[in-house]
Order: sequence, then C-alpha cells, then structure tokens
Amino acid sequence: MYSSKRFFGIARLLVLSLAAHFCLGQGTLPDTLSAKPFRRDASIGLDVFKNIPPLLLGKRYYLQEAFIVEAITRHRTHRGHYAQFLVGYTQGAILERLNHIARQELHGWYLKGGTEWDITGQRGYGYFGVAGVVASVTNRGTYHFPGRTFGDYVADYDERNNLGFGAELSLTRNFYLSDRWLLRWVFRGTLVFRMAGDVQPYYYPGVGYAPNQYNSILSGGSTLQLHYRLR
Amino acid sequence: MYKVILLFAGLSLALSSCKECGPQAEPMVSVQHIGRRTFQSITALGAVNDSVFRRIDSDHYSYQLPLSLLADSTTYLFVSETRVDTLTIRYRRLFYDEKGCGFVVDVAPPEERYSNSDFQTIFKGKYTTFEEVWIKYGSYVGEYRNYADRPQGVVVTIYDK
Repeated sequence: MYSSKRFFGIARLLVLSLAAHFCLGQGTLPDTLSAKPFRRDASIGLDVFKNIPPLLLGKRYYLQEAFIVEAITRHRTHRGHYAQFLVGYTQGAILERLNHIARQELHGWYLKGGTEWDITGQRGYGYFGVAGVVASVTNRGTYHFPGRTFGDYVADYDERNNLGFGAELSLTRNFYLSDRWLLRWVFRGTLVFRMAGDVQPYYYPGVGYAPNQYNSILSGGSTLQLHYRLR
Repeated sequence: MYKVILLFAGLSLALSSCKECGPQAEPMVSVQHIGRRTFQSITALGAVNDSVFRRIDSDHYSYQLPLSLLADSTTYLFVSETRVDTLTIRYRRLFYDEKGCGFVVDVAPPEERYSNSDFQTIFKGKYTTFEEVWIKYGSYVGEYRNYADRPQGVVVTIYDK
C-alpha cells in the first residue's frame, strides 16, 4: 500500500512533471497535450449533468422531482492506470403510469469503486473502466386498479433498503479545461443483482431507468463529471 | 445444419409457455345457470355503475359478473318474475407484483384450507337462496402451455329448480 505522503508527495510530482516534460514532451505531439495528463495524480469531482434533464424536460422526463448527487475521487496507481471511487445519492419520483403503479417515489445511495486504463496510448484522453457497485433503494408508491362497477381500488406499497450488488463498465473521454479543471464525459453500462424486493423498481440508483426488470437490473447512460485536479 | 436450427426452434416453441397477467380491472366471474327460469335483471349490492349488468342478456344461461375490488364478498341479486334470489360470493383479494406483469389482482378461496382447484358447494340458506351453487376459485394469473390450461378465474354454477 502507498502512503498518502509518498503518493501525493511534492518530490514525486516534480519527478513526474520533469519526466513528462523530457520524455513525452519531446515527442511529435504538441507539448500541451502530452504533458497535461501526467501533471496531476489525483482529482475530486462532481457529477454536473444528471440533474439537468429532469429540470429541463420536467414531466417529459421519466424521473421527476429529482435530486442526484455524485462525488468522485480519482487517483493514479500506475502510469495510465487510475483508481476511482464514487459515492452517490438519488431521490425522485416516477409519475408515469406503468403496470398499475400510479406513482413511485424512490431514494437510495450507491458506491462504485474500480479502476480504469488509458486506451489512448497513455495520452490521457480515453479510458476504459471496470468497477464494483453496491446500491440500495427504498421505493414507496401507489397502485391503482380501476373498478367500473364497484369503485376503484387504490393502495400503497413500501419497500425499504433493497440492496443490490453488481458491476459497471465504462468508457470515458477527458477534456482538459485548464491545469486544474478536467471535464470527463462518461458512458457506462451497469448490472446490479437485487438481494430482496418484490416490486419492480423502474429506476435503480446508480444503475438508471430499468422498467420491467426485477432481480437483475441492467441499464446504461452517459453523464459529465467536473473534476478539480489536486497537486 | 438447418435441421439442427429447426429442431432447436421447434423445441423452444414447444417448451415455451405464455403468461396470463389477469384482469386489469374488476375480475369477472363466469356464471352458469342450470334451471328453467330466466331472470329479468341481474344486479349487485354496492354497485355504483350498473352498465355491465344492463348488457347481460337474460334469455341466456351464462353470464359474466364483476367481483368487487373493495370487499371480500360480492352479493348479486337475480330478479325473476316471481321473486328475487341472492348469491353472495366470498373470496380473498390478492394484490401483488408478478414478474413480467407488474401489479396484478387475483382471487383465492375465502378460507386458506381450500385450494384454487377445489369446488365449494353452498346450499340454500347460506350465502344464497338458490337450491345449490358450486364455486370453483380458479386463479386469474399464471403461466400456461395450452389455451385449455389458461387461468379461468372464478367459475360459478347455479342449480335452480
């Protein structure tokens, strides 16, 4: 295990910077492109996209009243290899009438941890990632059966803390906005197996929109993360 | 090669089953009336809309009657020229999330000791004024291979003098 002192040490950064300058900076690529990916070892980030579609699209989007927070840490383990950890929280409501469910409210948290590899010849622009996922969701909702002759039947359901375990594959494109700021465009596919729960969740935190799925929940998506690169 | 593919396709079709997700509203009871009388009208206690009863052709001897989703029993009134007969069907309502269907409604016998395939016989004086009524509490939800095995729901046979 690396100590944080060793890992984030100034001497190491100096050596890396010099190495990047002398080794990579002498190549055929422009100096700005080759040096930037190796200048910083670690970053902290936030998701900056997931709350926008619910805000802009309103009732036309599948998740309403949404509030999604995702915080990410990422640090380099080897040249071209990064470890990253993500913690997220989602709450929202699905008002679309699906299989007699008139309204489903959900909230849940998720953790993702894994590694990613530079797939652009160690230029630091494209990464392929693998991560493990742990997620939990609580669903509350109302279901409704029309009763034309005697009256409608409406009842509530409540399923708490459905725990799920799974894995995620991702492809990420890095955009270096400045020395400090990094924008990451992430495409991911996530599969989670639920340990409990009878009611289909429609939206599973950390996985995404997954109607008509029960115990194994598969979904994909794309988002933007804004990272602040640490010294 | 084509024969192997055809064989696999044939086996897949032969072994596949369909799923019946049950009623999307009030479950309907199939009622068979065995007797000489015909009814002028049929209705139910607690009905807020009688359109389904108005569509019943009283000259026939089989009807489709709705079960209430709001109670564990439904009482029907069978009006003939000389009298009014009653039949109360008791049941247990089941609401649950069925894989591949979403929320479904199903009906089970009123007492848990009876299975869905058992016939229950009720006689005049208890839940009915007819001489004898047979009730089979078939499920409305389930998988089936052949159309004949399809979930039938509740089937009632009324024996009348």
